[in-house]
Amino acid sequence: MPQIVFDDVDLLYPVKAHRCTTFKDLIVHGLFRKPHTRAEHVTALDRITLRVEGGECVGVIGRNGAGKSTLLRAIAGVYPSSGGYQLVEGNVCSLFDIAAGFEWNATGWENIRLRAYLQGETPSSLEGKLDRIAAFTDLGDMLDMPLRSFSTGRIMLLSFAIAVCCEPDILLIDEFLSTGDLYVREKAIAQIVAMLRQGRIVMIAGHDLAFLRQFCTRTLWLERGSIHEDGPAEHVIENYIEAMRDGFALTSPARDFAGERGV
Amino acid sequence: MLREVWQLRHFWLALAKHDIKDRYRRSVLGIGWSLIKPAVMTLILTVVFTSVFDVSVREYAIFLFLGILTWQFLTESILQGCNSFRLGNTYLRVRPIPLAIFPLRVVLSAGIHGLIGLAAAVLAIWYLHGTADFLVVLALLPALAILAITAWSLACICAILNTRYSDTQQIAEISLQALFYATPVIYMPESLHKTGWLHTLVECNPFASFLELVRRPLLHEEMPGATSILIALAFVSVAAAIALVALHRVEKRLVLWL
Repeated sequence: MPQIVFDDVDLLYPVKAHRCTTFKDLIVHGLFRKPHTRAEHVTALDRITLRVEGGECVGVIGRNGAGKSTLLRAIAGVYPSSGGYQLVEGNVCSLFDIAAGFEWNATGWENIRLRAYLQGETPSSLEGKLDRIAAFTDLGDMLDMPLRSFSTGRIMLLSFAIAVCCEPDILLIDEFLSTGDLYVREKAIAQIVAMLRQGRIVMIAGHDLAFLRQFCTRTLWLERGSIHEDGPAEHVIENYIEAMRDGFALTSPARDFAGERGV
Repeated sequence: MLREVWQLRHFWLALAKHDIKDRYRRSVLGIGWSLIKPAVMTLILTVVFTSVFDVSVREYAIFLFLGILTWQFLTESILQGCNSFRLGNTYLRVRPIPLAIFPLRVVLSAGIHGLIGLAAAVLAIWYLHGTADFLVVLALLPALAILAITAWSLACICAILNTRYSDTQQIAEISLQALFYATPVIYMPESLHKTGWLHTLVECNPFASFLELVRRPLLHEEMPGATSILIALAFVSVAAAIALVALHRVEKRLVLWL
């Protein structure tokens, strides 16, 4: 069974503005300026403790910059943690950025192969899956066209099809399904449900709360890089919405504006 | 790390294949361009330098063509290698991948172009000088392996530096330009004064040894000199060691610099 265990995991992100990024800077700093003492890192994840078991569908919510994407990338192993214990069992497939992991000038078919090889498929293991991927995308002859002629929704569909056909144990989705039309979304949901039934893990970060509420068994609410609340989706999302409405830790210009207009 | 690179071979081979295809998309001559550029350079420089140096066109043209091919392969690998992590950023953010794959992708596509030129050169030598000894051509294989590993190592080192310090590519360009004149690409090493400083410089220059490794078997049908082999081997070992250590040190962190 796949599982994700995070114990007190920190992630520090280097801040470019605070350090030398060219040899010129390095020389100028070394020769003429005193070393700066300002903090060179921001804490992107702050003591995250988390345990996800097979068959769970976990939603990740929070305001922009709260660390949703960073958390998923840390789970995928893309970002290194700076401290704490981290265990991810099972092969991970991630759908983070629609444009990520594609060559724009390559055809749909070429991109399917590239992406699948990146997931560790071989030409022989992929052979049987190509038809399934093509059928799932419904793209037909369109797959002979370069990717740059695809619409965003279709690229989303393509990467989703490849991800699902590579049969990952853990699927991480970041703000991804929202570009698909209703039909595509229903199709994706059916696949995700099938994955969950097989005991796999799915984690979805996003702002589409209605979707997450309908779909996730559990939700993490992140705030400034740490877990603010972790529990049943219904409950956490309810609290989140309430907090946002009350202006949780923020002064909302929209609220002020509404106030000025006497709404 | 090298085992992981091997496991993902289908991925980087597909990437390199795409790069080569993409470079010549929409061009009538297609991959022929990789031959035309060094050939035209050779033509122009041959016309100029056969009137400066006391050499025959027949001898000089092939000498020059082999020099240009080897030099072009190394510089292309290094300079394009500088940007290889930035180009690979899109994949590095999908899942953890061994970094060495991206410089390798660049070296592969430069290597294919180099090999096409080399095949043309071998054919030209056969045509001009009659059949070459097959064993001598075989001696070229270890030379090509050394060249490939050198290019890969240097591309890895430059890629790391360029990701951390974004002016690396400019520095590399200037350095390579200076190195070009200390390397017998367009002039013959024999034409230098034996006591001059340039002669000593060329003797120690590993890039000169690489050229010797390629030219000696093809042009003179003999094994390269022991000094050249030793210098080339020493350089490739040091470069590969530095690349491996550097990659190991930044393997996990580098994605945060991109």
